[in-house]
Amino acid sequence: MSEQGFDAKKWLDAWQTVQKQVYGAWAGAARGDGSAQQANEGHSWWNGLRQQPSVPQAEAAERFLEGTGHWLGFMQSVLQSLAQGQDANWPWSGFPSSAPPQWGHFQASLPGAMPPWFGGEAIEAAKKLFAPFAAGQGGGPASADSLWQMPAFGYTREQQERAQRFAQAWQRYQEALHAYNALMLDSAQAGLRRFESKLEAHAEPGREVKSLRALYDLFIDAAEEAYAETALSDEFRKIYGALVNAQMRVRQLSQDEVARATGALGMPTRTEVDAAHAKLADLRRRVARLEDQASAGAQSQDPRSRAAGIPKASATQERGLQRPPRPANSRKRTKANVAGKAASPSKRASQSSFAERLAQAQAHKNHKPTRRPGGRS
Amino acid sequence: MRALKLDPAETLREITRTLEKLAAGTQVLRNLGDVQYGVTPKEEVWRDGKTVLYRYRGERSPTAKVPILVVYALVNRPYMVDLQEDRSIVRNLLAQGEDVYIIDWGYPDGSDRYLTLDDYLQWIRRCTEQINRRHGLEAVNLLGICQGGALSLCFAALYPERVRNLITMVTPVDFHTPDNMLSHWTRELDADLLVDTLGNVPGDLMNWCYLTLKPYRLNFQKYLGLVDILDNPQEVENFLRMEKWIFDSPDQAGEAFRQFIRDFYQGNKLIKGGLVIGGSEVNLKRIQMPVLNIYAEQDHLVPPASSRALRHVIGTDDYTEIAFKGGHIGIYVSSRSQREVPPAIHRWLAQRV
Repeated sequence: MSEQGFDAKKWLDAWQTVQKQVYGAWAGAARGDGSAQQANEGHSWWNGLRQQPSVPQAEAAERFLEGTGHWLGFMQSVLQSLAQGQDANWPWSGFPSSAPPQWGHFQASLPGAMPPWFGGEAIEAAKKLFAPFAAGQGGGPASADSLWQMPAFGYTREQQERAQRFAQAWQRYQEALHAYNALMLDSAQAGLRRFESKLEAHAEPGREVKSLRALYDLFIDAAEEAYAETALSDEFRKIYGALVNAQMRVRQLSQDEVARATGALGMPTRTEVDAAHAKLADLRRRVARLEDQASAGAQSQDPRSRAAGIPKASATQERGLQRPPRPANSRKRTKANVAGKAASPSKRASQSSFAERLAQAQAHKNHKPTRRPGGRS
Repeated sequence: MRALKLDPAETLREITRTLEKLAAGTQVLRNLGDVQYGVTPKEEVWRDGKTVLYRYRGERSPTAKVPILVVYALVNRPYMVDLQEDRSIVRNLLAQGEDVYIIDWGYPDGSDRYLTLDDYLQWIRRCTEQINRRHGLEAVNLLGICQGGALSLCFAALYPERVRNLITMVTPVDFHTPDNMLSHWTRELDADLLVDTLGNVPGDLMNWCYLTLKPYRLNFQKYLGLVDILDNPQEVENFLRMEKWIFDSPDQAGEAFRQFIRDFYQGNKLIKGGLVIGGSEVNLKRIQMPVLNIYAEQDHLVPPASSRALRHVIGTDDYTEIAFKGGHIGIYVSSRSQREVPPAIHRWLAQRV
């Protein structure tokens, strides 16, 4: 390198300076404060950016920073490798297996664990509670498991049991997360091996990789291929499913605790709101059916239909009664409706409100079919 | 290994060019206002809660006698079919003389948590009734896109008399093809636990799933591509418009999501049978109207094999299939799509007046 006049160390330093300036400018753009010249040290710009109120283009700038940051990290890895190996032959050989530690940092920024779809004080408390076990001070997971299964006593036994259930769920979640991250790490390593293979394929004269961008694109291709292979495996399917289910279990239990706490303060709980929403949905359907019936009656006298010479749709057609018959097992109640204490769709269909009965009676009087639209008589 | 042949001077220029573009990009972004989308004028025809039926207005009156009703997916916003002037399936259909309506499902909130798939089908039914009344018809042409295609198939099977011709675009039919990554991921999910816990499923969660289908390309490489166009405000605006659409994802009504995951993704009941919506069994053999099925050859969300399965499960003898050279997004917005898809739909419909 040096014999070709390329002082990688010098350029690396210069590049890092410029990179900070550029990131400072982008962070300013994302905040919308116009301070394009503002330079930030380290990655404090990132936290600052995230804490700012949303402004137009901020989200795009944030994503852009993330994406280009990935590439800049890639470039930095390569340049630092060059800087450390100035006496080595140019072009640099043995990449990526001889890559320096910086490459590892770059790898660490790659997709890993999914974000947990829960949060709040309960989770922070759980993290503190389980920290000793995570650090090995509590006797490990087996010891924790036995602790969570101990019988509860006394006035607070119900609370103790709920706390134990939450603790178990949290532990299952940590285990699932660990399995997921381990699989992702395997996938990332497989991606590196593929990357190496792809580079080997470019070793023939005339096929060499001649730009950092081309090198990066090759890396992305390799990483995606390895990831796809992992993501379509049966192992991933099981681990992914277990992780999502474990997350939901933790969230559900923490929501239960929040509901108890807010309920004790006299605030409406989610269960109550859900029940109201279920009733609202039911009412909407009933109103819609009434509107359908009223509309069908109006259309039977619609002069435009007659003027256009269009045969009037039979009441059966108008109300969608060409729908196939309901299967025998369709009266099974849905879990949601059981939870919300609302009538299931099929059960609902067998009920009839006053308004519906009135409409049916009117229809009967007019010698019209009395079945509701959609074939749900 | 001699695979790398990085010329130091050229490498430095490459880095410098990138950083210069990044620096200049701050100005470009700052000078761009809010991106506009949904360019074709449209009028509200009917509304029920958050669901709105619109009719698009072209530059000339439609010549087609039977309108097209576009049924879009629940998981994204429908303005993708009319994103911008030179990327609008709608605009090009109107230019062909078609009369185009579209259903906008809106953004479900907590009060919509108990909406079922049947509720959505009933909205489609009411929209067809509105159109029929306005035009003195008994049936419309239905254009179902992506998940909206699956809903359209269910609707056409349950209400065949209301669909004159059925067009499906990038529509999943067989949810268990080996290359269907999304479906693969859902198999072990406890859909009941998920919906009972979350209620409505957040749009951000859906987006996370889509991004992780190709995490390296969609989280990193795509934005590096933006560097190449940073000095072109028009291109940046196009990019941001697409970005807006991608992340402008409505939350999913809990009950409808539960059923879609359980019966479509996990049970594959659309083709295996046993799918019950609103108390009635969906039998695709009842689809005996003409069907045009358009799929994308490089679709990573709805694999081609998943769409092509339609041929074998419907009852019609008049089935046409078109393969589009592109991906799931390109079929709406690529210039090839604008050239090929609307004319193909128009020609196919014109032969079935």
